[in-house]
Amino acid sequence: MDLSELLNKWRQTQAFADNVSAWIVTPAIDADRRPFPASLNPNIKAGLQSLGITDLYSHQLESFEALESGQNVVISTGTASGKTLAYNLRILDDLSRNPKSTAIHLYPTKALAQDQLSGIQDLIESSNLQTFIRPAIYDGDTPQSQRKPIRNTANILKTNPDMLHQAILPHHTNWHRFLSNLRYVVIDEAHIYRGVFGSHFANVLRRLKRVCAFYGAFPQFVLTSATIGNPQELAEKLIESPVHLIDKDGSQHGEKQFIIYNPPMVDKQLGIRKSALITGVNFIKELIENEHQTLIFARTRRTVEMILTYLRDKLPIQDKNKVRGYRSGFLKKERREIESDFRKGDLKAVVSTSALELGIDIGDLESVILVGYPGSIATTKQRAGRAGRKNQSAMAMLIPTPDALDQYLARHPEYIIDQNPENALIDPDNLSILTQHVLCASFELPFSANEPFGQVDPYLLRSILAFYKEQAILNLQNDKYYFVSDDYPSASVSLRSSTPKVISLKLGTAQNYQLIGEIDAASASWFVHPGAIYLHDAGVFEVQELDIEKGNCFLESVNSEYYTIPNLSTSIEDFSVITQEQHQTYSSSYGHLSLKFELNSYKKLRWHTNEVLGIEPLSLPPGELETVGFWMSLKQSFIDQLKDEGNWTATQNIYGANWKTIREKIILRDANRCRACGKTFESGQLHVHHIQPFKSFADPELANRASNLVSLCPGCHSLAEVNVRIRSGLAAASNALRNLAPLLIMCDQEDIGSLSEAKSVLADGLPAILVYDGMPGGLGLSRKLYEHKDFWIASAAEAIETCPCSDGCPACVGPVGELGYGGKSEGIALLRGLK
Amino acid sequence: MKDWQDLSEQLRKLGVKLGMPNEPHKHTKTHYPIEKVLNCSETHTLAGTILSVKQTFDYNYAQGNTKLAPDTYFNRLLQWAKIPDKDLVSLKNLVFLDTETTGLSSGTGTMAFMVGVGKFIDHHFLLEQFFLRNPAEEAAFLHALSLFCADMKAVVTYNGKAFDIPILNTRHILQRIPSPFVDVYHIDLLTISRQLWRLRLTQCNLANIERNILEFQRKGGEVTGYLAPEFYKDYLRTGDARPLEGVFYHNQEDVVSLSALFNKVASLLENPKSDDLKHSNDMFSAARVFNHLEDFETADLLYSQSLQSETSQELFIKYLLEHAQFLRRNKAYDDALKLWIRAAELDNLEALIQLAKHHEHKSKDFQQAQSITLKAISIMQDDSSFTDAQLFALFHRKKRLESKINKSKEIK
Repeated sequence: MDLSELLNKWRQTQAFADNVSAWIVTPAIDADRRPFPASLNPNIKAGLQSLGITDLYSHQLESFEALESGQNVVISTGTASGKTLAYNLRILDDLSRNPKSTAIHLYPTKALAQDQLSGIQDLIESSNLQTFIRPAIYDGDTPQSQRKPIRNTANILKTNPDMLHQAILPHHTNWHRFLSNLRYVVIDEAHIYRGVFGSHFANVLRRLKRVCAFYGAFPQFVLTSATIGNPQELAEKLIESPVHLIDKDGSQHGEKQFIIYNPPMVDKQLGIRKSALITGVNFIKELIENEHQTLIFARTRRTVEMILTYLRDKLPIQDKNKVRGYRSGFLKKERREIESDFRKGDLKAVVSTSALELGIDIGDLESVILVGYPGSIATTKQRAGRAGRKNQSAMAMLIPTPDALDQYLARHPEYIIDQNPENALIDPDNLSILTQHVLCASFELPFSANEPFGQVDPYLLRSILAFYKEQAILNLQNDKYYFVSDDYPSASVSLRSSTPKVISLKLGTAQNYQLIGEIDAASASWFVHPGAIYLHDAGVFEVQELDIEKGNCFLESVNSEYYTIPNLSTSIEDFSVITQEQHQTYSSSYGHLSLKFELNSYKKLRWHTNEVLGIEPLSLPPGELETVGFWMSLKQSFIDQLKDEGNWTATQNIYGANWKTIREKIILRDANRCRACGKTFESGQLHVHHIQPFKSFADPELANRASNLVSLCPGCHSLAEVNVRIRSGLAAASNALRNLAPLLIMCDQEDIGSLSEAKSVLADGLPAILVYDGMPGGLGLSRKLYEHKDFWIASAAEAIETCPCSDGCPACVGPVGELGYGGKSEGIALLRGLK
Repeated sequence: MKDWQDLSEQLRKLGVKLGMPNEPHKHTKTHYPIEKVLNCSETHTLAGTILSVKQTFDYNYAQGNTKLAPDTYFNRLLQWAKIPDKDLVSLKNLVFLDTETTGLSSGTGTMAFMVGVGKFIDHHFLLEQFFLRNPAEEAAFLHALSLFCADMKAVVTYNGKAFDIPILNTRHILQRIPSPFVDVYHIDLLTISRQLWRLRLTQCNLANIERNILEFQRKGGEVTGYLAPEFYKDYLRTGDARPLEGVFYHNQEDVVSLSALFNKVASLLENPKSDDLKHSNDMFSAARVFNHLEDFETADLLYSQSLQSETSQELFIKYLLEHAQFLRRNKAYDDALKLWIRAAELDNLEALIQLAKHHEHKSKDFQQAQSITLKAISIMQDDSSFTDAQLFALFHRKKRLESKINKSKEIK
């Protein structure tokens, strides 16, 4: 069956049709072709023709002309639309006339630079311009012996931001020939430069422009970007100059089908669906059987391995080797081999993590399957965009997992289909990041007293310089700040995170170990605290020892029946309000925060059933975070209203056979007193209350342990339960809000944190819900949420309301029963009441 | 002042690394300028005036056991440094140079705050130490240095190829001043010193060479090179130049020693039979250098001499083997054979293998070859430092020899 026949067959199957959340057909588009520009070097024209290219797409011509007229350009057109030629054409044309001129091409990864080099070399050779245009790769893998010749002769340099930051700029005098003649800076895959990495990169570009200006060079910038909401804004923020946007894609596309298929419900009561992974495997098998080459994206390396295993099980013997995995950890050679086998059609399916998404050429694809929502609309569109052929139809399918965000999107496919992709946010003036780069820049050239640094507020810049002067790192003489420290600042600044330190994960002991991976120090105590179960590359490990100071974590391979989750207690040490708004039932504030994190225990949970098997204490040094956040403080009248509305009656739990004895022991222990008000009662009048609710334990003995029980009088008990309800409502609302935040602002789940407190210092002892930026200094993420709070709150309420579960489930309100109740109705009441 | 204090508090909270945490700074500057500490001269340049400390030394002045100026030519040293036009370079147009810097890493942020330069002029060795009173004087500093180097044809340094000269070239680019070091020859004494003395001295830094080769002891109060950046940073902060006296002294002795060392190396290469080669390690090292310079006669002589002197057995075998290899390359096969026999007597495996090869292929004495191979196998089996591949090669030889022996028996 060809693809459309197969899709028709699916469409006509009732079981399939019932579970389709969305099915969008994009009709085929013809190419908008333009002749080569008249000014193009005839050699290049002939070279292109010999490669079979006889004309340009409209966006390629637009890019050529915009660059020729001296503008900066960002090209944001679809996958495989010929973006590389769009910028290379003008650069090669210029360099062929002015062979002294130079261009630097920045790629976010080393692999991409390798990929692009062969492409540009083909064109140079077929244009017979080898003597004029000399491209070279300069990265960590470039042998020392080649580095000097490259510095002296190359005029197109393919490198990455880290190399520019740590090797080229701090030694720019070695590059003065290259930098003095720099005409073009190409930033490929610019959408990668968001968040912390993007904020660092913007500062590296400030440094590059500053050093270039010293040599009298003022290069033009060309950026390419995959589909994001704000390519032009991002480009202009990165390079701090006006940028001409090219987003009218002139290339040709076949018909495209996009399907969201939610795995069928297997237990309506509990809201359990069939696994996305198994569902995916069935579709892949059918596609392979019908000779449709398929690319599968999974979210983790572990899922990749599982899909492969299941898939191979189901395939006939001769096809087992025609499916392969593709993920980090593979050797470069293996990757090249998989890419080329896939291009040639020797492989029928490749299962990949994000490792494959960065512009790596694997040819035109018939079908793409996404197992699980990749975390952002932009990434979904980029991955689905891999399916697309010039003349024939193609298909992309998203299979949501049971996760909160996935299920929300399954119910609201319009988010993915209609909504613009997320905006990439950066904040080059993040204080923590900026100060590090001001120092790097001082090392490169001394700052003059009124010299600018990009668009940094001059007052702030002067303060940073004065700060370093007081630290005796800079010396001020005749209005110039000279670097006088015995230091090499860029060595200790890592562009990829705001905290550069990493912890090595070592399997074995200090004497005898095998290095299996790394984790950044900031998240180490969260993921690899002592006793934690850590999953790595389909292996299960238990943490034996964590030494953050020395950067070591020792693991042991185990066969564990449980996994672990640390109990993080976040406390607010200090805060100050930047802006505040009063509403009817709450007030919203945006401001600076000092947070303290303590991990004081962790839970052991049984695989699959998530029962709590035990709670173990932890003692780790607390972590601190200075950041910005947005919080909502509930007003007393609103709390009272919520309490009044809750016609709550306690449902009787079955506390176990020996409950009577336990109850009596506790009352005896508490000497017939209510532990809240202290008054004495008859033993029959007193209630025995579970501090952590009974429901949240799998083992009644654990729930009924003496330390979890207190005697309370009926009045105090009811108060305690109401407070529990408020708390669980708060937790539910906060969870739903946090889950949806990445939809509104393009960021990773880990980039934001949240906290709900029943008695918060942020609200003068009243309840508050807080979200904050997860990196020191913040990047404006919570600011964005503050600005769009009404929409955000409404979406969160709706997410809980439309969830098919009865009393809250992990997909809507988060960990069930953590604080007592599912929290579904409490969460909805709270969110709907925020006015 | 309040602004930066607020900021520093904020930065501390953000976890930004601070240079000097919580240390109250002395804002009261002592202002004890360098002119009051040392006797300074002024050099006037287009970009301003720069201070320097000048000293002259007599030609016969000795640093330890060595005079500053060589009595002989130094053609061999020039040959070693691959300088083609030897006539162009003479004692008068050499510049001896050593810098003190604000940091020990390379890169654009490291400055030279002091350059000590020496040259032979009017029967004296003139040492001049240019000093950067503050970083803003750098242009004048570099101009003054260029004036001193006006007649320079070659610069002499110790580790200057990797450090001093690249830094000075970078400083010139940054100040947009042409560097005087771009088009001159460079004689870096670190490389040759390592070749000559590494076998005897584990460390070949200038201080160690000075103590052991020049037999010179510095007096107290010196500030060693790696501490100089901190001293200069303190001086910039306090304005008190007094602690820098030790840096000047350190730099001065470095340049003077450099000149004496130049003489030492030059004389040694001109006249290798001199008293300077008392130690067998030194003879052996020198033999290698002469081998490298293609003076095979001298090399052979030095190899032979090194074998006659007292040394450890380990080194003795090393000399034997290297000399044998040298002889074989120079077509003196029979002489090499004699040395292999001597080393084989000491159970050296490499020599045994060479001998086995000799008997198998040259003298065709297969029995002899076989008994040597068996000896080699028994030695190798007792020693875990050899690889299986090496052992297999020997077994392979043994087998081949067996069949050769059998064949020759058949013929008989």
